[in-house]
This record gives sequence, C-alpha cells and structure tokens, in this order.
Amino acid sequence: MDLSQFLARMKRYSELRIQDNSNIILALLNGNLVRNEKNKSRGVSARVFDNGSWGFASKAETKEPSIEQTIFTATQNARFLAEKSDVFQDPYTSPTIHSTKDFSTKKNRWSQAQIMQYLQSVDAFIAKQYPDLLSRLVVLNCLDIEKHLITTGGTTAILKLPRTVLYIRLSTQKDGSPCEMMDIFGGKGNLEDHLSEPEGLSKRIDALHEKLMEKNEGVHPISGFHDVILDADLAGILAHEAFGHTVEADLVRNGSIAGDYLNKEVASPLVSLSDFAHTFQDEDTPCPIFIDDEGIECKDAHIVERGVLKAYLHNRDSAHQMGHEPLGNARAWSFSDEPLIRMRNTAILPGSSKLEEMIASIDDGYYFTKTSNGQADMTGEFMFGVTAGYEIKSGKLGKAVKDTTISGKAFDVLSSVAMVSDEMKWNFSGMCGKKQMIPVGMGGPAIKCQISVGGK
Amino acid sequence: MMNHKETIEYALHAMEGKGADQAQVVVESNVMQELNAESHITKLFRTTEETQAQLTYIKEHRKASTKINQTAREEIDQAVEELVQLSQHAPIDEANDIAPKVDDATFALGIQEPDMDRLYQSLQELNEEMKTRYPQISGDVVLWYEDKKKTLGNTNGLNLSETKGKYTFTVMFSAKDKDRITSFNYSYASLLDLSQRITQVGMLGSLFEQTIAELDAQPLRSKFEGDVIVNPLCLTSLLQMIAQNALMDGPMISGTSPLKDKIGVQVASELFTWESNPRSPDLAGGYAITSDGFVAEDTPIIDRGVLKTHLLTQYGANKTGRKRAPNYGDSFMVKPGSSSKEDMIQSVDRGILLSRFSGGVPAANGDFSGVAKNSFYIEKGKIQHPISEVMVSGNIFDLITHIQSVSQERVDFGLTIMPWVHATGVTISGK
Repeated sequence: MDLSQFLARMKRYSELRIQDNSNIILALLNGNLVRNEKNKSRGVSARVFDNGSWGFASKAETKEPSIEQTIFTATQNARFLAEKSDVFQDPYTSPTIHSTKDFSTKKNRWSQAQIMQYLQSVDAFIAKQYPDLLSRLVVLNCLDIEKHLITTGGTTAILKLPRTVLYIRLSTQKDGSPCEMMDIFGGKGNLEDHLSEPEGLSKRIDALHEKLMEKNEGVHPISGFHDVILDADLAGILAHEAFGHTVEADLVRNGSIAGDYLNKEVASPLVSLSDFAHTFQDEDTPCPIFIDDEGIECKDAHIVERGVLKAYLHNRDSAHQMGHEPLGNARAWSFSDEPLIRMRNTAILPGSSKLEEMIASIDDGYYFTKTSNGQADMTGEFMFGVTAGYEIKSGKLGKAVKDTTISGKAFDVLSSVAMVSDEMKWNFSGMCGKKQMIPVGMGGPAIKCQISVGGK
Repeated sequence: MMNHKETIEYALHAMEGKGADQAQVVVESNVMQELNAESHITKLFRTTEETQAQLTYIKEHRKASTKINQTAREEIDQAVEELVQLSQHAPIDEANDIAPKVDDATFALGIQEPDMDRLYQSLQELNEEMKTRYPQISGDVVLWYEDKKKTLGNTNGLNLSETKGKYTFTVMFSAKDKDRITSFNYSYASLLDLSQRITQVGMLGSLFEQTIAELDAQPLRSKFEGDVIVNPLCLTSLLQMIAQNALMDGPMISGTSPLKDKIGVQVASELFTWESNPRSPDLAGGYAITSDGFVAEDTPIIDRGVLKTHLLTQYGANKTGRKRAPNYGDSFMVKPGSSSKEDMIQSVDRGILLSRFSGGVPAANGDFSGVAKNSFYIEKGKIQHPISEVMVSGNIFDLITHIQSVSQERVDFGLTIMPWVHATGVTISGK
C-alpha cells in the first residue's frame, strides 16, 4: 500500500507504520513434535507529536478507513496530553530520505515437507549417534519482519528482515544430576540460506556432544575474583548488556552511571565499542537497520573510543533534550509498539592478540565460551549465565566447568581488559527485552579481563 | 467483521472441511489504554486494539496450530490451508488432543468499564509524589487499563468465554544522589480500582524508601554460607524458576525434572504451602480458562511441604501418562506463616535480605547463582547495610527444603500474593 496517500491527514508531526511479523516455530523434544506453529501479526500504527506529548494508536486492520481511524485516535491521544501540559516544543523535522532493503532469500523456498524432513533428519542423527542421552531438543525459529514507514516529512522506509535460528540442546546426567549443553545455528536470512548443509551440522552436533560429555565430568568453578578470558559470545553480551544499556539515553536520563562519564575514561585503552547500524568491515551486520522507526537515518554510534566514552544512544526526544545527533536507534518490535531506544549491532572491536597467547598468559583462571542469558543495571553492574568453559591452569586449558554465573561492574571489567584477540565473531540470535522484545546483533573478539565468578 | 462466535464457527467449519478429525479455536480481543510517564511527566498516551485467533488442527493425530490477527474469511481460509500443510508432515503423536465438552460457560472477571479520568489522575498523583516525596528516585511508569474478551470453541462442542478488565502498573526506577546511584528496582501490580495511591500498592512506596537507602550500598569482603530472607517480589521469580525447571511440560517430557517422581513426597519445609489460584477472588489478575481449553481450577502445588501436582497441560499429561493439572501455573499464592518480618530478621545470625535475584536460568538440577540486587546485609539479627556486588548461589530445590519461617505479612501484586520467606544454606560471596 502507498502510505503517502495518508500524508494529508498527518497534520502534526507523525509516523505511520504498517508492519508484519510472522514466525514459524517447530520443536522436536525427544522426537516428539511439541510445537508446530506458524504465527502472523500484522497491523498499522500511528504516532503523533503535539507540543512535547505523544499520542499512539494501533489497529490490526490495515484497510484505508482503519488507517485513517488510527491516525485520528493517535492525534486525539496526543492532544489529550498536550492540553494538560504547559510544555511548548516545536514539531520535529529531519531530512527527507528513502530506503528499501530486502534480505529475503533468493533461493527456492522449501516446502513444509522439506523443513520437517530436515528437522527429523537432524533429530534422527542425534538419536542414532547418541542413544544414551537423557534428552534432545531441536527447535527451529524463523522470524520475518516487514516494515513500511512514512513520516510527516515524507521520509519512507521499507525493510524486510528475516532471521533463522536453529537451537539444538542435548542433556545427559551423572549421579542423577542433569547436565545440558546448547548450540545455535543460523543467522540473518531465511532458513534456505542457512540449513542447506546437513553435513556441516552433523560435525557441529558431534562437537556439541563432546563438549556436553566434558561438562558432565566437569568441575564447579571456584567462586571469587579471577583472571578470565571471555570468548566472543560473552564479549558480545558484555558489550550489549553490561555497557550498551547504560548508554541508552532513557537510562541515562533515569540516572545511569554513564551519565557522569561522557568524554571520560571508562575502559582500558585497548577497548573500543560501537553500535553498528548495518555494516561492519564491508559486510552486513546480523541486524542491519537503515532508517529507524522515527524516520532517522541510521549511522554507527561509536560509543567508546580507545577507552573513552564518546556517545549515548538516542531517540528524537532524548537527542533533542541533550543536544546530540540521533543516529537511528529508535525501534519498535511489533505494529502495536511505539519506538524505544534500542541497540542494533553492538560490539567490542577486535584487537591484536592471539587467543592462544591469551590463554598462555593466565596462571590460574578460566576460559568461558558460552552464555545463556544476561542482565544489566543502571550501575553498570551485570551478570551473565555461563554454560560452557574450561579451567586455565599454568597457561593451559584444564577441565571443563559446569554452569555458573559471572558478574561485575561494566566500567571496572572493561578497565581490567589486558588483551583483546584479533578474531571478531557475531552472535545473530539475540533478543533484547525492554518493555518490548527486539532482535539485536552482538559481537566481539575474546577479551582477557578480571571478573567475579559465582562458583557453585 | 465477524464476532467471536461467528469466527469460531467459520474456522471450525473450514478445518473440518479440510479433513480435521479434531479442531479448536480461541479468539481473543484486546483493547488497551496506556499512559506512560518519564521524569515525572506523562509523555505518551497509547490506544491499541487487536483481535487474534488461534487455530488448532489435528488429523490422524498429526497436529499444527497458528495464531493470526486478521480474522476475515479469506485470512482464515489461508491459515487453514497452511495448517493442513503443517500437519501433513508432522509425526503421528497420539498425545495430541483437544479439550472435552463441558457445559457452556461464560466467566466475567474484573471490571468491565475503565475510569480514564481516574487513570490519568492516578498517574499524575504518582508523578507528583515521586517528585516531592522521593526526589532521589527517577524512573519510568506505565499505567494501563486492559479489556480482554476470550472465546473458545472446538469440534467436541466446547463453548467457553471469558471477559476480564483490570488496571496494571509497572514502575522501573533507581535512586541517584550526586555521583551515587543504585541498581534499578521495580514493582508492578494489577488492580480492580484505583482508589488507593499507587505507592501504597505492590510495596512501591517502601521499595522507593529502600532504594534511596541503597545509595549507601557497600560491597561485602567475605564469603560464607548463610541465611536469606527472600522478599515477596523475589519469591515470585524463584517460584517461577521451580515451575519452569521441574513442573511444566518441557522438563517433565524430557525427563530432566528433579521432581518428576515426587508427587506425595516431602520436597519442601512443612512450613511452606504454595498454591496456584487463578480463580481466587483475592487476585485482580486471575484467569478462568486454560490455554488449551479447560476450565481452570485452584490447586495447591506444594501443601505443607508435600508436592501435590505438576503443572502438566493436556498434551504433557497424555505424553507422560500422568495427571493433567487443574491449571498451568501463574496466580501463585504462598500461605502466610506465623513469624513477623521483624522476628525473621532478628533470627538471622548472618545472611542477607534478598530483594531481587539477577541470575542465569538455573541448571536443570536447580543449581543457581546470581547477583543479590537491592539487597541488605544482616548480622546478629539486625540489618547492617545495603550491599553491592554480592553473589548468591545454591540450589532452588534445596532452598525450599531449608525454609525456617514464613512471614505473617504478605504483599498483594494482583497477579500473586506472597510473603517473606527465611531459608538457610545459601552461599553468599562478596567481592
């Protein structure tokens, strides 16, 4: 639908968005198809600015009268608040820009039979190869997001962004105590772009099983403060959870620690950290965004440069309040959501060390490789669940470790970074929760730092 | 546009026409009026409307389901075509089923009409109170009225419907004073009326005061095995972990649940009674119909320490050969005990008052470790000081067996009602 036909009705500064989110979820638990779903959510939303206040409305129906009604309700809602407010603020403006990006597969689409056959072959491979497992779980989650946006100034954006994630979780037990290990496959694009090489997958399943067996015989880390190497998965979540959230301007406004540190040293000079819009080293990032849901052109936000805090992440309101340039960080999860300040592709930049020399440099510590989840705080205090890793003894990898948690204060941990590896890896499966869910990319090299380990 | 009943009849007919042996449809309409405040200013007013239909199709024990929010005839027809495709290639699973016929029933929960003026006024009062009474506190407030109508029908002749309306607030906040800041804290509650000040609901006012006290947080310099007094908000999240790790379909079907063979067995202190009561008139946010089409009933989960039920759905029950649960969790209530909160603190030789647990998902065996947020150090029966950078670790199943006392006082969050609980045997690690 051509949204420009509604511009005449958008009398105040407004954003009008039609959005489709659809997903397929298939889950095989011990060979049983416990989820077999295809879900679709489509609708229209309008957001209207009136003298410093916002009105928002959404409807699932996207026919012309429904869109007009949505604009009308949003306008009324904004007026309701504006009439009660003593704030005066000019309407927002920004350059008129246009973007159309489609990351859908160019390959022939698989039939439902092919998809199911693939998953069942993966499950059958695990069952045959490893019959003594306590359980096996294979989950395919395909998400397709399609957005059409127009703003009062005439900016238009169309984005089709599919994402495919295949989770494989294996469980075993020792002395009646279950032990699990998960690996994640896929990335930006449709499943045809990622699931066409069962051979490669079987090798990774073998590797996953080997790590599960190591973990089952593993040891609980000793709790306390340790020298550790955080592999790329953990460095990425450190960039996102521990640091990235503290520089989101809505959290800065609410008192985040980063509010007092702009242009001050917050990390080791070895650390640079950015939130990339859509491109890193000439390649698409896992979650490429070109125009955000407020109609702002997306640019990279260089948050930390050689240890110094240089930027916050903004929406239109916060950028206006702080006098900074917005770089396109306002995004909404579904048609019925308003844009919030969100990260896009947040990463610590690679350094020059080799992983082997980083391990060799630690006398007594840990090498953590996988994480389950993470939480952040206004203070920069964070915690991550760690689901895989090894002891490091006298510069060599030792026994595998069981599940644990690591925690610290982001500024302290990043200030303790003594080595940064030269190998950059992206995590493509992140979903960030902050009132709404949103897909994000996270990345980084391995880093050597000091951190508090939970132990048993 | 078709109403709920017409949508269900059309979708059931369409699925039967495409060969379904069994079919079920849930239609849910949701209208929400939401106010958002930031920095003590009401900034955003949202109105959202949506109707969703969830279709379940079973043929020859092969099952598929879909959720759509476009419910015109042609959209339903397309969804049914996709369901046929999805189910054709699904494995045969005799555990797949739909809810049996029961007498038609309609349930009306909560309030049917919002007072929008009062909604705005309540938020303005909270903005003003935060600004004047708690000046160190800043945060974002969301306050909304939600009106839901749900109708469920299936090819067994089932016909259930539920309407519910309620107010809900969430507040995320922290305290800041010059260069001192605290961890974020939060509260929420569902309400049937807005006659009380919001700070008097869901511990919000006391959490504001507690968070301001946390400006003086200090790290602990030691590691010890000690006691925890778990506050009502944190207890809710710990019980959700136990439900997800041990009682619901996933861990029961996979066999990883440590409680899988423990029905009738003492799995917690006899001081501990944990119920799920979605039909309780004491809760503003209960429910009357389960997600798979059964009339929900209240049930004890653990009664004086003895496990009474898992939280298995119809599918989980068929799959494991065990009993379907009267409901599938949420609406948790823990029965009050005989100790006052003050007595509990006085009985602690060394430990912490745990207000928020920021930790990873517990391991399948229940081992957990994470950061004790918004928490306080207790020594010799007295709260000594707020703490920062302190980790707690232990096992959630051991924790409930080590409960020493449960408080008389409880907090009503509208969705849960929880006391304070005192347990021993948790490892507390300082910096």
